[in-house]
Amino acid sequence: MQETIENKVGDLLSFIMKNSLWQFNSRGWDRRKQSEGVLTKVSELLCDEPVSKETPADKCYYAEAQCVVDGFNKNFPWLKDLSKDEIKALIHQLHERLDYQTIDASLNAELTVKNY
Amino acid sequence: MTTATETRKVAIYGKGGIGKSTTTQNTAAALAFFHDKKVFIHGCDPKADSTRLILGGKPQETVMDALRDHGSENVTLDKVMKTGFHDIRCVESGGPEPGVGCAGRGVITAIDLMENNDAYTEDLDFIFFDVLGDVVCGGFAMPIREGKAQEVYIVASGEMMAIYAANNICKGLVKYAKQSGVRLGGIICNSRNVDGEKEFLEEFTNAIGTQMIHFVPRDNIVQKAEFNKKTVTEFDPEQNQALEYKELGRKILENKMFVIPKPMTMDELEAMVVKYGILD
Amino acid sequence: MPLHEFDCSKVIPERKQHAVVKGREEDLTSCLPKGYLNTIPGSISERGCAYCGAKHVIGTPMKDVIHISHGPVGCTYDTWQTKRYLSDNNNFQLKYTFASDVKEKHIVFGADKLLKSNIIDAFKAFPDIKRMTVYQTCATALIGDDIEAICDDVMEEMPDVDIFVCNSPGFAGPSQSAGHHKINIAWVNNKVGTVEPEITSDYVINYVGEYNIQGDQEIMQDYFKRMGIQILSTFTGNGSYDDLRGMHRAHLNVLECARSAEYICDELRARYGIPRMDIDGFGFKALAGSLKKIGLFFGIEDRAQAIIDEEVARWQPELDWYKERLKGKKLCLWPGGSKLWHWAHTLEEDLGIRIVSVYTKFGHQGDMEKGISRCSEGALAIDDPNELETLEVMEKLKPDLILTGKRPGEVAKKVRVPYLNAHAYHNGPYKGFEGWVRFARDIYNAIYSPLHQLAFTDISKDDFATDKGFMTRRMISDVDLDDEVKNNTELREYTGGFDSVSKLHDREYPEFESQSAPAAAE
Repeated sequence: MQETIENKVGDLLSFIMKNSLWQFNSRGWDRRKQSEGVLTKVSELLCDEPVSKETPADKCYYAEAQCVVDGFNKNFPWLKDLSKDEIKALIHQLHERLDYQTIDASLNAELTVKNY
Repeated sequence: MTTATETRKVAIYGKGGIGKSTTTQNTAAALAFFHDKKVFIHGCDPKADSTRLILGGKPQETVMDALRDHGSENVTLDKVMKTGFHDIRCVESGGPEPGVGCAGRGVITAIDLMENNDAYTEDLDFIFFDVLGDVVCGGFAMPIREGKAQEVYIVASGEMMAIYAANNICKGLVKYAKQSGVRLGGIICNSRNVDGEKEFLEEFTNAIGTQMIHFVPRDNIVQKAEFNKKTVTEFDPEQNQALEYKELGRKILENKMFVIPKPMTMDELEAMVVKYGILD
Repeated sequence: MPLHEFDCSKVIPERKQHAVVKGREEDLTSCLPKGYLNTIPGSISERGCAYCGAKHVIGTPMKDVIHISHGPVGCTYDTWQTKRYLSDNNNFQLKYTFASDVKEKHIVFGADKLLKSNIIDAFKAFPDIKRMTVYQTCATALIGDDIEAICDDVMEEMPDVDIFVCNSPGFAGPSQSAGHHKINIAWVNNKVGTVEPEITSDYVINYVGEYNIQGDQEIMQDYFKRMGIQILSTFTGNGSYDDLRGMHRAHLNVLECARSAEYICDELRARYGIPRMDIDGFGFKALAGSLKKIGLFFGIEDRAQAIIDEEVARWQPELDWYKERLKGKKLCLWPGGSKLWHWAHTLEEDLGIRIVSVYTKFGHQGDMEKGISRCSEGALAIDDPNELETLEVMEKLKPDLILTGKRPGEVAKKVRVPYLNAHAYHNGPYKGFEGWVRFARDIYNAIYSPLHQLAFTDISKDDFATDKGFMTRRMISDVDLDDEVKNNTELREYTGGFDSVSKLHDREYPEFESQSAPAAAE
């Protein structure tokens, strides 16, 4: 069971890496903000929870998140069978692995440059 | 003595205001007048004040003026070369006003133009390049690069900043010594009448491996001659100071000591300055 | 890390750090070449300089501007606007290029007076143009000409003109990418906020990192207008100088080429709170997703969907005609910077083409991260390649086509590998749904050109058949095709005609009722 969850997270991660661009902002701190902003809303959308669209930044995260969710729903039909708690746990793992790959274990030497 | 010997190409460096141009022109005049040498002075300072004593204050169009006004293909010797006291030939590089353009590039361009125009003829015994205060960039090192000046004299006095500049110039010279063959012929002391000047300079020249080729005493006749737009030799060859320049000329003529200097570190230099009490 | 060592670069050991093969189990924590470093001595790279990056790529697509280089005339020629960034004002900025033509004497005496008189002359020669950008070059940077002071002088004497100064000499960084950075920051520091734009819609964007190559910008502008979105400015293709001074009033920055223009988006986000949204203008799926995303931001995704449905219905059968004939072809994707990630997955998904190698000349590691994420397993990813390395790749991987710039493209031609111009395009625009079909057609025409067989015929001898014609494209491409596909009446070749842009100029756009402000004055 554990293994299949890992595989599932891997599939979701591959989808984001191939189709999205928001996780690739140039600096590490910016990437962390982006993944937090977008994936929080992905989780909310998948769980049919209210999504805040108050600020311009919120709207932007929402638009990105909705596109990710549309892609998930289309490519990974098994998502429908998961409970809200399972979805949250799944996205939590996805978030950790995304940050690990694009920030913490990244080989990109420019992530820590001070200026943009 | 004007047999077909090689032309000696000499560059004179030294801190700004130390008296390079005065020393160069007086030495050149002495070499021409007392030693019967054919001399050429190429002033490489954008201020263009290296030849006025030889030319009696006659204004001279600089090479850079000619380049600007006529274009490089129209720069000819008759426009930029003037002959003064005892047939000494004079050229000024010239250059931009302070704060604009690139004076270093001007030096390079002027020397190139003079070479293309065959200004440095084989009958000359001496060519003097009178260069701006310090070797601040590649342009001001042009006179000591390959095929240009082979010997350098640095004008200095017993003041700390003059010594510091001399040491710095030596650093520049070391860079070019290997590929161009340029050597230091000595330090000319243009006295400021400070205490222990001669001793200080002798210790400094020993430390860097060269000689104080001559100690030129301070004499107001130099300023008086300058006021009359003349070198001392032209103004009054009987004067003692004229004989000092004659002696400097002789020493340069007979100089055998050409070295690659060993510039001092800043710490060594500071220690020497303290020893001579110049700081108080 | 799965580093790749080229045979030809064994003598330059440092090069090994600049190429990787994307293996089955690799991700970005184990598979990323070094990038955006100074060119390694001995490796002749294909990069431009920082001046070129600022002027040629970012600066000169601005359309209503006199672009003048302060330096020797050669700098200007080499950055003449050869990239086909068109403009709707009769291509003023393409047709005219200006230089102060600095000579030896100006270097020695300073070139400030020369520049001033050139600026004034240029404005007098083109009295309708009131805007100018002055680009510093290596020579004038070294002598320290105070270009800002000169331009301030001119602006005082000629109050109706405005001048932007770009201080990005050629030596100011490892490659042209440093120039992109410099001009981005200079523009946001000096010009953004100096004009208050008129807002005519509830939905206002800047379209950033788009250079209107063969009309790309106009294609995207058409979609935005159909959605009722106001494009305040385009940075910089077909962009107007004064519009770009008003960038600070947009609600959203839509960013296309992050490599050349993310800096200004990031600054606008930090200073004015405008979000940055990265999009893909290329490829059916990717573009549809991007339009949808912009729609979602404004809450008008239905408008986006309507456009997507209409465009896909119109163009999908034509794209698929090419897809059937291009499936499985091997391609090297060798652009300058951003197209390595814009095109990698879209070519694979929309056309079934396999990307066997990606490279970037001046991109940063961030670009390579995107490129490697998006291309398939087995692809060889190269940073800042030299010519011998690209020859080695062509020999070993035997690609059917190279997408690259015109200089390496000519090298490919010599070894009989077809190439398409990834920077200036062949028969673009390539953006948009129709554009992507045009791109597919260009790829098809390049790969199946009859020229390749004809080139092997030795016409100096008489022993070739005179009774047979040559194979046409169609004969070559359809030889192994199923009858089902060949006879499919749904699929068709591109029908859009020679010019896909001009028809947009006469288009009428829907009026959408404003929800916030009273209706804009007619």
